Amino acid sequence: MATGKPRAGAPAITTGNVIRDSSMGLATQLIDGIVRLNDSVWRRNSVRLALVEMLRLRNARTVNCVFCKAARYDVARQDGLTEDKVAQIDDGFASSALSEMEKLVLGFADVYLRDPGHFDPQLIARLREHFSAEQICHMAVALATFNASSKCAVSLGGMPEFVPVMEVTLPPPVEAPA
Amino acid sequence: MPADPAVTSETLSGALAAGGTMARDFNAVWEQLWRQDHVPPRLLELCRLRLAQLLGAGAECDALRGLERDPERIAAVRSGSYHRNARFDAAEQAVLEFAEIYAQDPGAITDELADGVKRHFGEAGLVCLIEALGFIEGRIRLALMFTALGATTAH
Repeated sequence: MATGKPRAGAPAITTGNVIRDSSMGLATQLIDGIVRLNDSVWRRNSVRLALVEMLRLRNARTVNCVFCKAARYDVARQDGLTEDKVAQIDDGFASSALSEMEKLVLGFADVYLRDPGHFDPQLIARLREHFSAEQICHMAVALATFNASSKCAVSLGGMPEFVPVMEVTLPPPVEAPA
Repeated sequence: MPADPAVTSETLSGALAAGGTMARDFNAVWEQLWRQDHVPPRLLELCRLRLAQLLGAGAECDALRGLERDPERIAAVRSGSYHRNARFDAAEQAVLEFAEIYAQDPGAITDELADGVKRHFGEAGLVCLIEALGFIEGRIRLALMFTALGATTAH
């Protein structure tokens, strides 16, 4: 059974990086790569960050990560993502007032999250009309990264029942390796 | 014309080449999984095979990395018959049971399952395992999607 307590602590030394200072930082041989990847997902993405945030939120709602569902990246809000749009990232998104590109992004997320072995050729064709090969790769990597992170948060336990919506800022940029 | 070969977690890097630096950063985490020593890579390989089986990823199941060479252990993992199987020690059973529930619903993981992993690998091992499962599952899912994307590329 679950006690509601976190199943792992946090590193003894804090750095100011929210990922590094979380339980994830205990896996010291993986954390540098994960921090760099998260930086890349947000700072090197060729897809509009409002759309990247929609991918993240669709994943958060599917995995049911309370923290991930409550978070709103400021860079996505600055790119035009409103709470009205966020409210439409539910199972009825296909018939919502979201744009064609927004629906395609959510459809892409659902293939990954639900049944990646069945990727409708019509959806692929529509994606290719609107997104370059680079953008499709970036959406894929972003989605896989978000999914791993949210499943990690849920697996580590200690998740509250509810967290109010909160704006979050990207951690400081990661310096390029020497 | 021969069918395009299926993409697997190992060949996904090529399929993601258009992703440039971001894809390379994603691949770097994958490569590090097999070099870290919080959890034995051989055990992560068993987890990869179990997740591949659960996701119905046939090509992934067939793409062995050479870390596990016992065909009976491989068969037991693929069929899910590793429970109370003398070919698997307690640490391996704890990790595989954790991976099995993780793949189906991380919200269903119990403290007992997590404690079973920590007993053998500590807190860092538990965290590493969870992170590794995320990237293993992620690459299998993306490999399935990119197999379909490749199959629809105009020849």
